[in-house]
Amino acid sequence: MTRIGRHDGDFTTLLAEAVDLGLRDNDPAGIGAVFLSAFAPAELCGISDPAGLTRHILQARIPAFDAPVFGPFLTGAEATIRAIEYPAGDRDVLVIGCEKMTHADAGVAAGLLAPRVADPVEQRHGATLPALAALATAAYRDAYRVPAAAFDAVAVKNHAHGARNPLAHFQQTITRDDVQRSPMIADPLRRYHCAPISDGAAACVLSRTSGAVRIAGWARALDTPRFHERARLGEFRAAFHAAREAFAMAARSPADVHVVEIHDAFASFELMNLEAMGFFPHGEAWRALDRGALHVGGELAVNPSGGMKARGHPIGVCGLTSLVEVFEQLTGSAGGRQQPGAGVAAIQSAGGVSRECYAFVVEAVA
Amino acid sequence: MRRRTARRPWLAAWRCAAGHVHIHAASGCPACGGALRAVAIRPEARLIAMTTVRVTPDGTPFRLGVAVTRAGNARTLCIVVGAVRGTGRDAVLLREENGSIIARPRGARHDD
Repeated sequence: MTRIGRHDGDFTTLLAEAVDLGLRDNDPAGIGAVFLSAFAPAELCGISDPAGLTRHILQARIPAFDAPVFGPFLTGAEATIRAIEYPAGDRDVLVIGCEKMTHADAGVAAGLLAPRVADPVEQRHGATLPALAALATAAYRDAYRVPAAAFDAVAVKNHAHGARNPLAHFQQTITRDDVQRSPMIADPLRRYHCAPISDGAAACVLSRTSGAVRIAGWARALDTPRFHERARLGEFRAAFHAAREAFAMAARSPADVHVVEIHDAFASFELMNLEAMGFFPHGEAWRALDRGALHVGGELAVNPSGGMKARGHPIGVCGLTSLVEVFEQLTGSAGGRQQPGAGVAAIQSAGGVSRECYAFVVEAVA
Repeated sequence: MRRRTARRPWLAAWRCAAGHVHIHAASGCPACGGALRAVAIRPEARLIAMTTVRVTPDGTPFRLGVAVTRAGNARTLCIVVGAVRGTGRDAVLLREENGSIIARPRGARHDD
């Protein structure tokens, strides 16, 4: 994974860096397919054929490279699931995610996001992703009497984790006062409750024959396309269904998990997703956070990378960045943010206000 | 379709044979897939969630909410106008204006 944050280089430079990282320590000749994820390379960077560009970069590095390149898919999680399910025989599959968007005007990025997170009816009412996220958060807070300070605590924790991650976008700690002093975006969400937009790239090689970790379960699920038609605005049903399927496939339960990388584009979402995945009953995750159980070294390390909040949020790469993090956690190579005894990890990735969700269960190979 | 009243205009909606009511048009009933037919429902609703959106393209804050109609429990996103408490229990009246649903507290006039 590259450093996540603001990069001066262009999309092509980042993509090449990710390819080199993916090929490092792996046999390039063994790659049977490549899956690419990127959110909007044409609109943001003028890259009209990112798959072709990826092929070009690979051909410059691998003599006689002739594997198919698929994508771009919108998220790293989607590309990863496609790669897992691709019939590559005993050959490896390379998954690459790349995003370069900090150079773009915030309005341009928001305009690109809007149709992918809000239904046309909702857009007509001025709904943006933060606005819908605020409605979900308010509904969650009110339904389960979750104290507003719990959302501040998520941001503080994830910045504390990000401060231990040399590749994170934000590597400084923050306090609850910092969160409360940050501008209100859509109440109850303040700026420091929201993940940034970041540049970055990541790559993974999925091997059918060997590896230090194993993806034991995976699933995707969809919720109703119109947020306002959900029966419970403060619950993420797609996250529930995806997690249930992934845990069943892996023959695991949330109680087996030591580390989880979970969608926290908004601080409240971390708590809501933990509950949707079955780690805690509804409205209870904040209590575990309050007693320090969700920090690195606690009972369940949640977003040890810093999460989208502090590690950063290169939209089309998220999911893949989580996979890199749990690989490092499960192989004992996460440095200062290592969760002791990590043997089983979970990943949850989402698009929009949890409109589509992806879940993975990953195990260390003994 | 019932007669409209001058004081509280009825709200255009869609209903399937199973009785699911929706404010916004769709190719089929989002709940059961059945065919939808146009109906008019009473505009009384409850505001179940609300936020004030501070960051907007033109810099003007506005209030966005989700309301549930008393007739048929239809849910809709709405732009909230007027004095509401935002506790999840505000009684509001809905009206469609230029493709958007406007919610005002009951007792306030929609032409206020």
